[in-house]
Amino acid sequence: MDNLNVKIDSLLKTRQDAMFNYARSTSELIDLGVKIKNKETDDTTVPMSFEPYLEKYNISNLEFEWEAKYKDGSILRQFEGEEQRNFSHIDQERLASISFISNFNWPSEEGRDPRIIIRLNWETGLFEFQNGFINQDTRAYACMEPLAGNKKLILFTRKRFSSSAGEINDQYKEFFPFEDEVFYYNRFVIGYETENGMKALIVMPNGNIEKFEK
Amino acid sequence: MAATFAWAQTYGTSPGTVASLGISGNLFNYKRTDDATAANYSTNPVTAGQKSYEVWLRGKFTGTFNKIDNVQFWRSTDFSPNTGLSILWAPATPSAYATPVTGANECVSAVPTSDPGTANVRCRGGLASGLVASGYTDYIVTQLSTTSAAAAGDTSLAVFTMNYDES
Repeated sequence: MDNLNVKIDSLLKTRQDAMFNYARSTSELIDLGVKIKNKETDDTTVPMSFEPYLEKYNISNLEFEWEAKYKDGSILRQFEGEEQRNFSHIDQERLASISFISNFNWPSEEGRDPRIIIRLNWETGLFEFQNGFINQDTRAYACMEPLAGNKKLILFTRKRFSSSAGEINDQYKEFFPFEDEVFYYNRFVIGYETENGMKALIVMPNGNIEKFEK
Repeated sequence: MAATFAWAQTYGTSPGTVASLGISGNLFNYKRTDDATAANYSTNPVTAGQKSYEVWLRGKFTGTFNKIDNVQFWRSTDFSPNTGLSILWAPATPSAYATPVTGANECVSAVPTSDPGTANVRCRGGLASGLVASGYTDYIVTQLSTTSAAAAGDTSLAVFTMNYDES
């Protein structure tokens, strides 16, 4: 047996496994809603299964933005033209509902509003949904048995950034084009707490909606 | 854009010089010189068995926000291979800067290697304090510690993660 052939076969297998694992892990990251940005090309990956992200997304860089509706019918948006608002701008005394609305279209039935909307009715303490993935247990938790008591709004974005330190050996650099990547992962938390507990949901950037526990 | 996050490094004799590193690309390297230049690591290598200079990082937040809190830091992936290499950090995340050293100082334990679940980076001296205006977290101090088993040459990459809540 030619030992060099054994070595070459072993290296081919290592390389093939690595390429497969790279492709699979990248696909899974993107499906989870992790954005991978290449510093050199400035390209950012987004889930291919969604319709193209709306133009608004390019302004805020967030998959979801909040919108507060007041009892008098007026609306306060997180981003509106040049205006940017945060939690402190929301008047909870006047609140009728608060929503997270997606900046991408969901593959919905024709004729339906394709955006994902998670709306908390501030008066009833119950959630309403349009599009997105939510399992039956979470839906029951969100849509039934509101908490009694004075409500305090919970509304924030959980952000994650991952980037690298270190260097690839010069001898391998020309075969390793990935070192200038940064990974973004945003989640959106909406709900309320009273003296009787907390009721809140966490919205993933891919449209999955889950019960939020601190 | 809501809040904008970037890494900042402080280096040099206390009170130090602050350099903005941005967020992507190879932001810093562990080496035997104390500056904020990633590229000069090869002329200031860490000899196997030694420690690097401490790297004093902070998260810098600017822009429009109500509060930044629940700040968490961990190493998502290790060097590969990692023989003879370990990254230490200062779990107290000090609020006061001290001139970086190559000896045992602030970095007394292994950097977290998974999501800590709760805040592990202080802001304004406390884990629950958060930031309510543009500014910096307290210091995230890390240091590369090597043994004689560390291989010559570059270390490969390690991925670090910053996680926080913004309202």
